[in-house]
Amino acid sequence: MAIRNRFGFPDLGLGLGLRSVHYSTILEQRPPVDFFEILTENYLDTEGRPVWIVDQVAAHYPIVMHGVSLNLGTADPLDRAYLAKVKALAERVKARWLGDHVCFTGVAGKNSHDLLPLPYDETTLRHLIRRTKQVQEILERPLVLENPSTYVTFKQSTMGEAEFIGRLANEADCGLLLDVNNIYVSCRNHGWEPDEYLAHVPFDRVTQIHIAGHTDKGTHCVDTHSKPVIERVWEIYAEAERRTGGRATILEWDDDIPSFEVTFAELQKAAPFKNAGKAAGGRAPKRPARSKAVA
Amino acid sequence: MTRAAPASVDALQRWFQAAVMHPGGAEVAAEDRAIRRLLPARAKRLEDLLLPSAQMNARERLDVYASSYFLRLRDVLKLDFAGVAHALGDDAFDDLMREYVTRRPSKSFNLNDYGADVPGFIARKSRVRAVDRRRAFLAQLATLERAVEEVFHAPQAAPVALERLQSIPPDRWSDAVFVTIPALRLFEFAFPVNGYLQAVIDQTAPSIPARMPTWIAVYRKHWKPWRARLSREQYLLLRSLVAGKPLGAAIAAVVRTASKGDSQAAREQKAEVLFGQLGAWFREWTAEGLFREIRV
Repeated sequence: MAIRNRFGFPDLGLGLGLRSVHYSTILEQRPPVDFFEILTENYLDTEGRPVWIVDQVAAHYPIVMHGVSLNLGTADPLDRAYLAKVKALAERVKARWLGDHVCFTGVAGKNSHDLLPLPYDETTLRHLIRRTKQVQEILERPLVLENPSTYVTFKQSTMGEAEFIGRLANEADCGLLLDVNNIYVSCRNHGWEPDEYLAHVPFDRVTQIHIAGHTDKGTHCVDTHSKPVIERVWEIYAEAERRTGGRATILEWDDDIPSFEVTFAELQKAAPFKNAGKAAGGRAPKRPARSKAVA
Repeated sequence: MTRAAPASVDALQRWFQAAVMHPGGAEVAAEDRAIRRLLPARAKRLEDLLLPSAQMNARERLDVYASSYFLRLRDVLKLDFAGVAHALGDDAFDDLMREYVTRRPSKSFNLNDYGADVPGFIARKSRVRAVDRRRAFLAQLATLERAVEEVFHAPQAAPVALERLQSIPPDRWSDAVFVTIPALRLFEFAFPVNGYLQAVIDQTAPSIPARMPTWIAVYRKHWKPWRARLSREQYLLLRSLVAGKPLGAAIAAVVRTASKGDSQAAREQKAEVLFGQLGAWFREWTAEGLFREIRV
């Protein structure tokens, strides 16, 4: 039997990030995608075509919402106007759940439009726990927070990323979106090991999984979502599915986006891993999983 | 009441953000006095806060964020201002965008609005030499391109059908108020910027045109933005309708403006020509969905 998701969120199956280049295929052909993930901000502050599209998609597919501007970790006050818009959109599209990233996107009223990193220390953790609880109260639902891809490490960090995010999830009582490509990218960039990372993840809080491709720059990897998923990331995904017993999985593709058919075929590569994970039923490995460095 | 964030969190984030947003990149930011003054307590240099990796030093790692910051915003603005980008060429457009991004950092989660100040910035602020040479043309072209973005996201309103137009009794036309859709913008330009933009879209490598007054409507139909060329009289009439004038008053205003300085006879002739065209104009505008209500 699979590890039960703490919030009772279902395994929605295999889904795709909804992208405008695929709108016509999705609306005209209604392909057999289990669910779609929308980028929250693409459908806020607009009353034009984007909301017309998302209303139609939501009428035929389950929707989950994934934001990039919650700015959860910022030192600035919460943006309550933004949260009100997020809440209204979630009701409009009947979002199964919604989330964002463990990061900050700007401070002092500015917005970098990037997922900027946070130090992993007690002060930042307490700040994030407090903010996550506040946001969940306002939205009246648990957040599903994603591990970011990061490119710097702070000297002041006192714990690993997985431990930090795991404690955040447990103490703020939120869900997790495990991005297995981000695990790979951050492990490559910081010299961590994916299996060690996974060992600290509270899998009962994992609600959703992201798979994606990245760009290997030689000295570091960048989370570009511009290529197929690499073999090692599939391995991490397989392990995550085995430990959860099956979680809703989204393929993200944001740059150099191929045709819908190619994107859909890439998503289908996840099916055997998901099926094997379901068969394993969320059992932890009997002995430590491989701990080879990812480089 | 919301508790304030710890001062150490605030200080670290302000320094990190300032370094990422520095126009010179992380290496220059690391040595910039203004950025160094933001270093949190006890840190004297970037390396006191960030660790190197096996293959990159701390400055190179920070530059992954710093370099992508400008490129991301530049790419967004290039999509919104493809005509301006073509008119300036890649290097000058990058210079303009670097100037804009530096002086007008984004303050909203909504990237759709980030280009809202670009037309005004080109018109009044930019010091890029290539902009200075063509400032008036570029500002008007940017205004047109910004309008396309605005109508794309404007509130939706169901347009009235042609039957509604045809149902107005002839004796009530003068009092009729034509309420326009929110996704409509009207412009009087000193340059033929619409033709230039279309040529850019058609990839016919247009050159910068000479001055020539043009009147343009930008509106949304079937969820897509459209640009339509208007005559001066059409522009004046639609502008009066947008201002809420009843049709009779709007027509009178058009005749007054269009025949300023004309003799009485010339004015009457212009009015007659205008009256002769009204039916076709209103049928076309209604078919294009420019009116959401006709109040009689």
